[in-house]
Amino acid sequence: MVDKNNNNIDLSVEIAGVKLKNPVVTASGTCGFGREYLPFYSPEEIGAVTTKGLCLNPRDGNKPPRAAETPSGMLNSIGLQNPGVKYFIEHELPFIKRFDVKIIANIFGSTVEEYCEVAEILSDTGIDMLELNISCPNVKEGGILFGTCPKMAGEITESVKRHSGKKPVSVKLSPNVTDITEIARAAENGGADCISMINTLIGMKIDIRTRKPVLHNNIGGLSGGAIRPVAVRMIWQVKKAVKLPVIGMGGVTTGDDAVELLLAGADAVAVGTAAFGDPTAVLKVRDGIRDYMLENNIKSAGDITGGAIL
Amino acid sequence: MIVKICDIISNEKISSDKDDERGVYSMLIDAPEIAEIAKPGQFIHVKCDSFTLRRPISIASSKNNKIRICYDIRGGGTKWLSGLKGGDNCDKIDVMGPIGNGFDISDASKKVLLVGGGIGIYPLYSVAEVYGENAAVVLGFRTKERITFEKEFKDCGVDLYIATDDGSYGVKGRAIDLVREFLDKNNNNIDIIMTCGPKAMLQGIALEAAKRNIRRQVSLEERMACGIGACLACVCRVDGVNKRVCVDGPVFDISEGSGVDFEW
Repeated sequence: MVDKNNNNIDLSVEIAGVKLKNPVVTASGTCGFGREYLPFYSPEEIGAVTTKGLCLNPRDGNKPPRAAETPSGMLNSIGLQNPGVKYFIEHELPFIKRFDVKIIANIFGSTVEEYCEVAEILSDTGIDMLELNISCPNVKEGGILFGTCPKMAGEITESVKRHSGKKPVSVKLSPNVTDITEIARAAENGGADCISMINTLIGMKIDIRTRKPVLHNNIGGLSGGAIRPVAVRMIWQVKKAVKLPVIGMGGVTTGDDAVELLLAGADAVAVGTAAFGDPTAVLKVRDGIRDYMLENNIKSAGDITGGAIL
Repeated sequence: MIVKICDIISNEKISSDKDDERGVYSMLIDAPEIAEIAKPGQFIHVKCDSFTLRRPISIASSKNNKIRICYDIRGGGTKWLSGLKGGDNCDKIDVMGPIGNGFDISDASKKVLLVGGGIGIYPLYSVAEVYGENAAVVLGFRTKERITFEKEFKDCGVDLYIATDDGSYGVKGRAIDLVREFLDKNNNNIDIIMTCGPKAMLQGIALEAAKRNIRRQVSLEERMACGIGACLACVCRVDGVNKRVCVDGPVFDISEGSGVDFEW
């Protein structure tokens, strides 16, 4: 799509066959199913909405406290609370489908079979892409076991791909590994169409007065600006290791932050934690990317990708 | 929902804590759009410096185009807030709100008992403004230095009782003890109890109200992120199901179901 205000700027990107009108999407778990942010922006303004993680049956998640402020970031341990994939299809998907926006359904399960079943159920709906969460650090069913072992990551990708029909599958990687490129390669060999990275880094915060962990779950996922350098480094490494497109995420708050991830090799960028401080953060990120393109005479957003000069 | 950068009219310490690093502050904010629609029990989500998360702070009062918030210095965010200046060349503040469901103020001729502990007293103040003489108010504080808003509550015309944990002011003991005494003396002649404060207090008050079959509303607090119902950080357990404190609460009427599971 050619941007209305700047005739020669093309913000659109194509990822695994899915055309996004701009490279900015919401990060899973931070924007529900897109509904809550309607008072602040129309989903049509962004490239895609990524849903909260979905599994087969409703899940209550972890006990509170579930969130804590940390230096330049936050910890969360929501524990994958969600209403289940069937509720999503009946009550949330029709609503978000009224908007001209792509939908990435984030899925997880406690077994390979559950991942496959959820993927199969969604393969027959109006979603545009599946994002395989093999990296949630907050529950044992969140897939981090799959996401930290290359063999298992490859196998689960392969299995899900057999049940995902025509929907492209992006595998969301955990940064809590020794060598993320091994997992990325395994996902690629398993047939992944895309890589989403990075999920949160596992962290912990202790209240020194009470001597108790702040989160009920003791540990949680670190997100926000603090993890951006980790995301940039890992995207750069993974992009050299695999040929897949990458949806980059990790502490993106401004357009400049997004450009940094794009330069490292991301093809699109997800915004998550930033929305908690500023509910319109996605729009600012999008506009910031456009401004960067204007200033640097870049015609197409895709041309930023991998442009880091070494 | 309004997100706006507003002028600070005033911002001063109202508790008598001697330690400069501690204390309850009262901030008056010029926010006509929020003041116009805010209801007692709602809160605003306040951006603090470069902190990642906003801080949810209940609205103590909203009138004449202004809202008042009162907050305790708990950490870096509220410490930063306490340093902001009102008056000429005032500082500005980024606020979002009003958010959430408030207390029931539909019939001010009803008899209400307001029970507040610590900084939980401020949302109840905006209820006291509505109910006036029909409100009895029990406030609990740790110690005399922490007492605030005594005059403000009295000026609403309410029947006011104060307890301190250490007995340095009012009755020595907990708010719940005064509540039991009050209800016994008044033959439970109260239509509704509204409460906000520490979890242990809420739990005690909810139980007491249930025993006496009095309608009850509790305002819950939980660590919060988005403040608009999207992230599910501030979830609590009410009537056996998950509820978001930010948009399903913070005030919950727990008169009918199994109430709040404070252990969850």
